[in-house]
Parts: sequence; structure tokens; C-alpha cells
Amino acid sequence: MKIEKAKALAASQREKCKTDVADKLDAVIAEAEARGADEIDLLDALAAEDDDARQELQDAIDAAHARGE
Amino acid sequence: MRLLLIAVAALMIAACQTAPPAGEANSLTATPSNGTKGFYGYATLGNTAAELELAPLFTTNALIRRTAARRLRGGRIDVGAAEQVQAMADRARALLDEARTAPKDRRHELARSVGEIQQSALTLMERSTR
Repeated sequence: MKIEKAKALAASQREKCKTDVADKLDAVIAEAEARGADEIDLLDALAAEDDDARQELQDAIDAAHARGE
Repeated sequence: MRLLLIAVAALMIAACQTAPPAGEANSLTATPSNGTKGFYGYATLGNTAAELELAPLFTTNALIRRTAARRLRGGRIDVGAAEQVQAMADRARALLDEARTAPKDRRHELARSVGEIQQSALTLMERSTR
């Protein structure tokens, strides 16, 4: 997807008051732009983001168990 | 009349077989507005549509997980609730991965299911937050 189209998607999410989603999309798009890309595979990037988030939650769960919770 | 029909059919086939511009033959992200024609254009339109439909759902999945992690670390939800949220997000993710390559109707169906799972996860998290 062209970067401009991805930005339009983020803007549409912001218009729907889905600010968190729009902010995250903007962050992913900004990373691609910083690499000099003019296209982005949005779903690949967001799948990687979800993988990171899954690991963060799993780490928090494991830490809670380690505390005896 | 028969010759005319054959000529029209030949022209239609030729239009469908127009090659994409150089350098874009394997791109999954081009859109029909870039001058491509025929089957190539339809295929890439479908991929872009999938990205537009699924990207907010992928984003929401990650946000749900990060919110649950933050609340668990802050002692605002218990570990049981966090594990339930993780399991629901995993289920949503599996459907999202399937939706990426699914035909349009199936993709819509999967997207609806993902939305329902994510809403349930958010509700669970709100009810569990102290």
C-alpha cells in the first residue's frame, strides 16, 4: 500500500475518534517513512506489532505468576 | 457478424493480458489507479481492500494486549483476567491471519468475528479493572 493511502487510513480512524488506533498506525507509517519507503505492507508491520504486544503481555503474566499471584 | 464478435473477443482478451509496468510485476500494493489493467489490477485491488479492512483490527489487537499488560503491571487487573485477554487476542489473531488471504465474503465474516472477540476482551478488561 502506498504510504499516502496508509496515512489516509490513519486519518479516517482519527475521524472516527479511534485515536489509539490512529496513533499506532501513524507510528508504523512513520517507521516506514524513516526507512525511505514509499510503500508499506501494513498488515506485515501490524502483525509484527501484535507479536511484540503479545510478548509484552506474556512477560507481565509470567512476572505476576513469579510473584505468586 | 461472427467475425465482428471474434474481433471484439480478441480485443477483450488482449486488454486483460496487458502487462503491469516494469518493476511492479510482483508488487502486492499497487492500485488500479496506477494504470494497470486486467486481472493484475483486480488482484491488487483486493489486497489493498484487505489491508484497509484488517489494519485497524490488527492495531486494536496489539492495543488490547498492551493495555492489559500495563494494567496487570499496575495491579489494576489480576493475572487471570490478563490470561483471558491474551487467549481472546490469540483467537482474534488466528482469524486475522486467516482473513489476510481469504476471499472477500469470508474476510468480511472473519473481520466481524474478530471485532466481536475484541469487544468481549475490552469488556472483560473493563469489568476486571479495579
